[in-house]
Amino acid sequence: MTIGGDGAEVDWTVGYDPPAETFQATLQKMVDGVDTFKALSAAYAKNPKDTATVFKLARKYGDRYDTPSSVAKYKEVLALDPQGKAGTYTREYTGITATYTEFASFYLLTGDSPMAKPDMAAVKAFIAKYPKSPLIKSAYENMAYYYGYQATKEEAAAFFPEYLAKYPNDPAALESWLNRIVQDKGPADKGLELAAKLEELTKFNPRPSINRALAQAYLLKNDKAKADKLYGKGFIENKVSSFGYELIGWASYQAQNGGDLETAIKMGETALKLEPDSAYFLGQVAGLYVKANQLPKALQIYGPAYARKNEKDGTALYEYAGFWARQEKNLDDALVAAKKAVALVPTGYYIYNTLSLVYQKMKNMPEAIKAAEKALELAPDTAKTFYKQALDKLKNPAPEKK
Amino acid sequence: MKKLTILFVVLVLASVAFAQNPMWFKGTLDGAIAKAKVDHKLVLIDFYSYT
Repeated sequence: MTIGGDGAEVDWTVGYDPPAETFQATLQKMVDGVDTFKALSAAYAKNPKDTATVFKLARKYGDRYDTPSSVAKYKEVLALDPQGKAGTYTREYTGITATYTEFASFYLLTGDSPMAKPDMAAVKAFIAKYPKSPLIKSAYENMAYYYGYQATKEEAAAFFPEYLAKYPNDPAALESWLNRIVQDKGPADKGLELAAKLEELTKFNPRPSINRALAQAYLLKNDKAKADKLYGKGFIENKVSSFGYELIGWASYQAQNGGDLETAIKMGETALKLEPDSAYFLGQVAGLYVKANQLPKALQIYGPAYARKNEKDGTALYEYAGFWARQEKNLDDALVAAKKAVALVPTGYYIYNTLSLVYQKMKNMPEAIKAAEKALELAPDTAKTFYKQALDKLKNPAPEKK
Repeated sequence: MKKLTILFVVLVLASVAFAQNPMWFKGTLDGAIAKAKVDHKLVLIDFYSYT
């Protein structure tokens, strides 16, 4: 809450969500007096016929949980601008734009509380008046909360088929009906029918809340195996792993495109907390540290200690050697790792290629050529052209540009 | 019965860019309002609670 030097309230806001910059922008608007409760009240006192001001004041009352005042102001909007010509409003969190009048009608029929019983006659009237309004879907989503948790079984049984008939491929509609069935412990067959469709729609990007509902639906039919498959240990392990990769992917993108390196490192470190032994994550985070000129930290997580710990793992050593060769740092240990890797996997032509790369970065060209020759010798026919070209480049390097 | 504790902290906001290191006010709410009046600033009160 902000108050002025006269002790009177300017405005207040509830809750905080990251990023901090968004919250600071909200505070800045208060400091600047933009659309604050005080400013809107003053504007309304000066001109109570301005639809935009009345609408914004109605929203403000709604945000302050003062439903009687917001309802009164929405009704004023309808009286001032019945044709909806005074302007539009965009609801930030959904991006829906509609006229003040249309939004006022919507808020009047759905109310500010999803717990209140919807007036279905008013909803039908709204749909008749605004048949293409994007707010119709929002109205159904709001109503689904009431019919999902507050309404009687009979009321819910009447509402959900209508909701699904209107939005047959909407996961939110399917999920809300399924949750109601789970809550009522039936009808199980209908639950399975909805679950099957929901699973089909979301299988490529399953959401925890949906899979939880699916598992509960299968438990209604005592199908524990299917429930476990959908929402068991494998599901959550996969989610954790996927989230780790998403964090690393985001961090790499930021690092490569001049983004916020400090936050990128924090996200990379978060991924490592999820999977501390992932060689890929370790390498990626080490790369972020190197980029931020924090070589000791890179070596701490992905340095000689890591190589010693994995001294029997040819693939881990090969990746480790390649990483440091590309960074052109920690080359002595990269060489040790590459030599161990070729000893562990003597047919690994690609490992000899990495050994050659390490020698190149160490400016030891005779050894780099020897390793590249071995890579070419061992390479399968399908890869020989590539390794031959690499070897030729080493033997006949292009003259350095001056 | 749930115990509700409401805490608040006070910040005097300058009427310039918020990001410019706002100073936390040490003292009472009345003191903050008096200072805000003199300095032509706003007072930010942050309430939070444990339920």
